[in-house]
Amino acid sequence: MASSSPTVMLRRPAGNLLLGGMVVIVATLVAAARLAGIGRSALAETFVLIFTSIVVEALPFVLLGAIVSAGIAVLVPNRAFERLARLPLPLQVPGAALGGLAFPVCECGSVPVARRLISRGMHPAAGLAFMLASPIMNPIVLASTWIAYQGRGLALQMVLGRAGLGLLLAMVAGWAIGGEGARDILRARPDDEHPAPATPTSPGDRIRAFTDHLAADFYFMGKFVVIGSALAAALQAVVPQTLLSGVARTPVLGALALMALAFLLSLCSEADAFVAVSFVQFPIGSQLAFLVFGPVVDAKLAFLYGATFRRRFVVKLVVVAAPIVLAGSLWFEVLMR
Amino acid sequence: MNIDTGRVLRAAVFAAWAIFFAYLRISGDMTRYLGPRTYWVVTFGAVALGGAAIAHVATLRTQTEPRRPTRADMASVAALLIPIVGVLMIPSAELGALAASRKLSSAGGGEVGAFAPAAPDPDGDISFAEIQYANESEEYAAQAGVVEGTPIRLTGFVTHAADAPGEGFDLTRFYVSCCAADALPFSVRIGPSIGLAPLENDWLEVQGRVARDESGFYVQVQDISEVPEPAVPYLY
Repeated sequence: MASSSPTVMLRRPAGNLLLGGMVVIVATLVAAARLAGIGRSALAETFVLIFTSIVVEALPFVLLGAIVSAGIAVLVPNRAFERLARLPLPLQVPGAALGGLAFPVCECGSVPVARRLISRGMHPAAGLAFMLASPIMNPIVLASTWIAYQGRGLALQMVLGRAGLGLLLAMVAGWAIGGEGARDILRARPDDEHPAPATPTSPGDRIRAFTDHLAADFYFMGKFVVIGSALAAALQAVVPQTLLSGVARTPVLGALALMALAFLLSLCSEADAFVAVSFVQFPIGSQLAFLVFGPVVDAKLAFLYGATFRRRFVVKLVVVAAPIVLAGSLWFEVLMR
Repeated sequence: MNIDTGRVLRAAVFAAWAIFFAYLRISGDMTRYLGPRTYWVVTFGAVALGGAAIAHVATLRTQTEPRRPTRADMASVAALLIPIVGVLMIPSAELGALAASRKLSSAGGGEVGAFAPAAPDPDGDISFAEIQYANESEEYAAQAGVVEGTPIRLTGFVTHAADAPGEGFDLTRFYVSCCAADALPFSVRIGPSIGLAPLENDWLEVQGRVARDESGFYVQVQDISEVPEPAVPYLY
């Protein structure tokens, strides 16, 4: 509705124009692609199918993480985080890592929650420990690992190995990378400059603040999930995985090869055990490396981390995680023999 | 009272994804992208994203001057629409021979194969996985009843393994756990002398009997026919 007041201005035409422009661009792209017959290309089909399947599977988890994150921002009072921040660090880090047991979402959902926890006062080491542990420690992931390895009679060993190595990795990486302050680790985001009121009082304000936080997290994380999924799908469609099979029998090279494959595939941690169990050519320790490294570092997450944390976070994480996972997987191999 | 243009855009993208998820659920097309373990995410996505869209529409009006969408906002919106645009461009994408050739656990190569479980499903039929496992484990083959002469009927798409012996081809099917990204191809060799030279990715129904040579189990064809791609292209 228009108004005579110059300060009360309706901006509906701008919104309509943008929406209309989007629809026209999308329709043109779709028509052009169909006319060009790109759907007849096996490579394009494989890419689109894998790309879409990763995004379709991941996006609801991003949304779930954004909902939890928005809930933390709007509903949890600042004093709760102040109390948490006063706890000794040796208590915060393992406590946060074990908190992953109670957070049944995979890696895409844990990143926005960790960012929110750190920005609200949790020590970065504890926030990172939570973020890295929850995709490995959560009950759905451990249950799927159990089911996948039940047929081989290794369910208990793999669950304990995955949970133990995952917990160790999360705590060590948290300590090693998260020792700095929140400002030194978190990348600033545009919406940080326009924070909503910390404790909105009226129900209307709360709904608006909640949706603002939810949308900010969802859109910010979502675009990097899309980019990372595109990279993972491209790698799956183009690179023959049989390139890795030559090193299958060697424990060290086998573990490194499956860690590289985990990075390339970007599988959801709730599904990866069913894939890992099929790699029978690789030693059992290498399979564990696949199951612990993948939920912590993969192509999709690299983009998500790059957008959430400051420069070199991904490099630091790989430098810390790779030796721990490699050493842990070799020890597991020794114990299993 | 102002209309927040940024919220309009965000609401539109939330709504687009909610509609896409609802379409996947109602049309059954989710089986193209996901396995049964993750069908629930489609329902959750449709409801939760629909709720987010409604919440945004309900709070479009603001008393204050709204922040204009930035280039970063527009980039986020565009990025989130890319997967939907991709599906509109190629609505019936499927994993075929190319994808099977890229996967690590592709069968038929001999060097790399899938893992044979300790015991087969006693009530299960003999299918792609059972034949492949039987090629890796005599014990499994005996337990699963994969022996020469066993009648078998398979539906799958045609692949040609580079090192496959004889004049036959492979019939392949993907097994999916959570989504197409974790799909694993299982292939069964189809015997020679069938008087047919099918093209890669043709969907066939093959009836015959299990046979065996020095390369392992294969299907000796009795009848073969072209069939359309099944509504659910994967096995679980």
